[in-house]
Amino acid sequence: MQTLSMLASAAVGAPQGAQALSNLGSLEYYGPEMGLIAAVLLIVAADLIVKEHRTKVLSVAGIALAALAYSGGSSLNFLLSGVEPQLLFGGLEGGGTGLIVFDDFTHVFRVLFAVVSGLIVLFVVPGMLDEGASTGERHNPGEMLMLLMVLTLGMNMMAASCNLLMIYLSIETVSVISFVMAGFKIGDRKSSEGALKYVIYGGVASGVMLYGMSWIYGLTHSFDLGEISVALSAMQAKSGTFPEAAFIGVACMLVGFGYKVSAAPFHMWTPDVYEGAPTPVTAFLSVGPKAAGMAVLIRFFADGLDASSASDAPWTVVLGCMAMATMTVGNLSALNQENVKRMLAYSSIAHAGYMLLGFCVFTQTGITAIVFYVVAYCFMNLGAFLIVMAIAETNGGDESMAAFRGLGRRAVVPAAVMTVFLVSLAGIPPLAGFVGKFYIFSALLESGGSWNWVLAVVGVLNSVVSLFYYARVIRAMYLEDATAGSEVITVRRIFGVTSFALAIPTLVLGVYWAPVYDFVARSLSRLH
Amino acid sequence: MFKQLTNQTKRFWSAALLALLATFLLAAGAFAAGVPGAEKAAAVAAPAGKLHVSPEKGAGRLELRSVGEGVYKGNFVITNQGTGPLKVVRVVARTSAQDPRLPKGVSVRWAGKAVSLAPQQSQTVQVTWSSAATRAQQLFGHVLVESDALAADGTPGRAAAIGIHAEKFSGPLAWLWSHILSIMVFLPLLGVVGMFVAHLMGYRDDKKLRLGVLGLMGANLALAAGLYLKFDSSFIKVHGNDGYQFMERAVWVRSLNIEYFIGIDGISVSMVLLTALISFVGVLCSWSINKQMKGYFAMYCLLVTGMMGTFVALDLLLFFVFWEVMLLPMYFLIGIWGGPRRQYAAIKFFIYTLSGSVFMLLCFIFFYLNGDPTYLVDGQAAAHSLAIPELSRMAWATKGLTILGISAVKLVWVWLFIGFAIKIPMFPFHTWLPDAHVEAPTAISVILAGVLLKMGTYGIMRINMTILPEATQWAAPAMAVFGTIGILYGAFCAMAQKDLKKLVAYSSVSHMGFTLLALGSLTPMGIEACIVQMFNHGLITSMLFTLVGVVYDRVHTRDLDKFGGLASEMPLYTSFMGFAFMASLGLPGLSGFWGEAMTFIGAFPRYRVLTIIAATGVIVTAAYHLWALQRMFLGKFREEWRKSDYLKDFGGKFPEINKRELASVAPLAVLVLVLGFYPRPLLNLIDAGAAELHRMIDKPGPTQIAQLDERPALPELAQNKSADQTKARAKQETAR
Repeated sequence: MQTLSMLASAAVGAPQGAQALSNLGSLEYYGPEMGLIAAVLLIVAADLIVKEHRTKVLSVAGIALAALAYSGGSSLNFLLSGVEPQLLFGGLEGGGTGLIVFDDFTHVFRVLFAVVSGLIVLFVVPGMLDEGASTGERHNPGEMLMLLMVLTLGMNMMAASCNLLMIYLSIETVSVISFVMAGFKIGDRKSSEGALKYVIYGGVASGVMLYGMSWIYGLTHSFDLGEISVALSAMQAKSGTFPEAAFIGVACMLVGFGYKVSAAPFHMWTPDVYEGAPTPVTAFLSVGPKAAGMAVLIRFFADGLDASSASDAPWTVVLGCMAMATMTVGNLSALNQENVKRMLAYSSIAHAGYMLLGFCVFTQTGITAIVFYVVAYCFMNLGAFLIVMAIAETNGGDESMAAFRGLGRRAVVPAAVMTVFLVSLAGIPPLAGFVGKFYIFSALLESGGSWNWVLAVVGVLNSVVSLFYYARVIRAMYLEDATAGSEVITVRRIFGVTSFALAIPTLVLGVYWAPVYDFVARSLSRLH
Repeated sequence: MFKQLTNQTKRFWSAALLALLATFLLAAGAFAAGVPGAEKAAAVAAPAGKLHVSPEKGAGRLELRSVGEGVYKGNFVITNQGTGPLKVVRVVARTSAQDPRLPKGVSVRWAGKAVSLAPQQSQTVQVTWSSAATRAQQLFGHVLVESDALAADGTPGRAAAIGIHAEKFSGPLAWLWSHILSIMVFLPLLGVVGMFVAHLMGYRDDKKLRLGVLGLMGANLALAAGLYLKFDSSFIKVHGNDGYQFMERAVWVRSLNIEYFIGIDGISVSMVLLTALISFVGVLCSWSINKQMKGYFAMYCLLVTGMMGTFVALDLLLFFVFWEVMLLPMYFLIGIWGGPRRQYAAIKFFIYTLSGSVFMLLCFIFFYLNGDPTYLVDGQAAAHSLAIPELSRMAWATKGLTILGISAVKLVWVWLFIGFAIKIPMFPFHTWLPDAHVEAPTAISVILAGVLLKMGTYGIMRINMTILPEATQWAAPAMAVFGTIGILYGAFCAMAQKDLKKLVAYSSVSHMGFTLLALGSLTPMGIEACIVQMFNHGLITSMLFTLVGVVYDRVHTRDLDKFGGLASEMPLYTSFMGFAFMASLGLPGLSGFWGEAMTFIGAFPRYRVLTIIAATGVIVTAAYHLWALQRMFLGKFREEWRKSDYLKDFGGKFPEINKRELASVAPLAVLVLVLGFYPRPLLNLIDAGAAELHRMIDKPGPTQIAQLDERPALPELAQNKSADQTKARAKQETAR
């Protein structure tokens, strides 16, 4: 069995014994992030210079898309050409441990973040173009897209950090921007309430995480994940068991990570924030930062703790329990939601649980399964949110189940596409969500052992439960008659096209996923 | 639609296009830009031979071409692509006397001794199939090349292989015959696409579309008839190709070793025929659907694809995909076009089936992860596989695997069984069935009872029994007990029903109980009885549901107590109903009799008491059928019907069964009658398959106790090895 400690030297880990590059020398490898930083500045400038609204929107959107394309494209290029991993930012002179890792793991996530953020740009721009149409949202286009760029930068850093301080900083970057974006509907009570809850929860979680980090630092005298792992294993070798103090430290840090991926019991903020925030923001929060949180979690456990299912520290059990709780809480709470957006919020909690399932086996296949799952999830979840947004737009912002009644006759294509997304989320073949779940469960069973079988059984039972609430929307769309009006609804064309474009990979990845999976697997397993 | 665009939107789109273009340019630039530090030191490896096997022309598997007189030939090339010398020890077809994988007559021209190849040197090998003396119409197999090449980790490597393939079908229809199953599976999908296109184009003439679907299903039925004529019913494992015919095999997902692998044998052929027949009849029964016809027929066609696919799939993942594909259309068909409680019934069906199938999925992953190494169809070595014939060769029981501390084979067997038992439906998982049947529109009831239920029993035979024969033996008594409970419970419940459709639904529970009892007996007669019962139950119940639909269409009620004396009103209808009831209760001379009689004959030697108890079920069955017949058709006609609104258009009289309805019932009735008096055509089809399945379970033979070593042993080695195996087995027995 391939353990993650093997992985530490392969995909996730820094090059063994390598010296970090100097700050200046690092910049060569820092192109994707620098592109984003440039985009932030350019957007601010464009926002100030360009006067005409439509031109302004298009120019800032263009800048944002260009920067994302550059970030994603260059990372993809790194992946395809197999660049040696590097440690970046080792001070003025170089050497030492560095703050940022430049490796395939980072690249994969950077590509993913670029795709997600790019799609979100497509979600928000149409709404900005027609002035004063939507309710109470800010209309300054530069603001939203600049924040999105900063957020993407933060997520890239989350995936790349190999130092506790950097991890903390990048998580905070993402969090603070998320707070602002969640409260983007000025004067909307739900939005403000959600944002405030988000701030309070985020504050507490990051405080606890920082406290945990201070324990780890106190024990190991280092912020660097590699050094932490060496120090901890030395301590473990001395005393024979994993040091309890370190366990407490890690447990505190898990609060922060768990908050980021919205794992139970740190998920409480999720429904309110997701319901209150503008739908594109919700869609983004449910995919981007969640994936980034998974990346940090994987990086920290692989590099910082050398965690493997064989080690005597009870990570498998702790994370397994967390995964089970997350799935179950998410799915059971979603059952009775009347607001589709809120239901999808709970469903995204459940999906975080499935991802955690793949994580807690600490194997290469598990991590590949998670990344593939995130790819599939990105398409189907963004698609579902997009349809919710498109439908709500046509009826004055109603996102309740009632708004979906009779949609099968009133808007044939959006309803059909929504069905594809929901069925895929439920994990039914031949759609992408099924393949994602298939890999997660096979990662669990590959590791074997009673505990993993228990997790797998709980996982499959959960997916049965999840079918129930996804089917409620399908039922409302097709089996129930419209309550108000039965005229044909036409959604905005760009939303129609985008959602259709998202449905295609959802279908194709369910029937022929080999190229994507192979690419992910190859990228994550390349030995250097 | 472009006419509607205003100038403004035009400008917007052009700007958006420009932005997109710029995006792509930048991305391309990022690609083209140099990558820092891309140089890599080339790995220096010790000189070693590297074996590469490929067809003389092209890549992938070796296609043997006909050279006349039933002889097929093809060449492949063994190349040493490494840096050191390579010794090819031998080249043989992957087959052996105990485990005949290939049809007879395959020969590989090889010197018979080791040949050394220098780097880049290659050698051509000729493969010949003299097919005149074999029954096989196709050849799917492998040629093994053994060499001293090492695996990636430095250990002695497995033999390399190349897939060989030939098709004997000739004539203008050769292509049709070699792809007939794929065509039958995916032809209905054409209907789905057609409906979608019709919707997009705003085509309104739904009645023509209905005729189109009828034509599609008719074409499928015609193909099925061809299949019946072409099917070689005595083709079994010893004839090669694992006993499958009309196979198609290609790699689907290479990284997961999943293949598009379909084929039929004596177990599945009758089910494929049944599916084609019932799906045709189903369209005729759908004539009364007039709401959202396009959606209805799109779902209907998708459902047929799912059912057909399930019966022909030989790769577990493919099987699973087809199995699940059929869920969603069924949900919609019941949920949109069903009766008053349709929503409840639809979701109940969905959830029930899914909860069974998620465990099935876990079992399939278990099979995948713990299976032995094998080869994909094109010869690529695969560490794991999901192909049913390969999995059925592996000795699961002797692997000693456990799950959660329980013997893995037993737990996996039970999980799989529950998944299938929900579909059958077996008591106590049957409660979705009456709901689904009562709410479903007539055609869907017909499909549900006629085909869907059989998927459960078929799954047990195809997967539980072939892959896990030891566990099947362990669990057989339980199957028989549950079957018997089902027979009695279903019969008694049916007796208590007032709703005619619910009565038929419970009679299904009862009749499907027979299939379980028959399977549980594990005798050749029992297994055959199970398939016969499945087939006949499909015919008879479809007929019954169609007939129930006829009366329901007229007066929108199925309450037995509201009727009476219908015989005088609808004599022809009554005679058909009487005929169907008699067939259902197992009257000798009608096909329903054979399934039950054979079940008793098959099960009696093993479960005397159970069989006697089950036989009393027949009395109850006769009772509820006759009682229902009496309540509905005999006695005095209720005159209040004359004033009923439903009959106003018909002058207060029950209209007789019409021609279309007759057309949907008559073919079934004819089949029931013919197979009742002369079941030989059906039995012929099944005989060999049932015997083969029995052989697998009853005495796990050499193909069951897998040779872990893939290499076919040389004759003298084989003897030693089998002696060794016998010893090892004896040792295990004593250890136990």
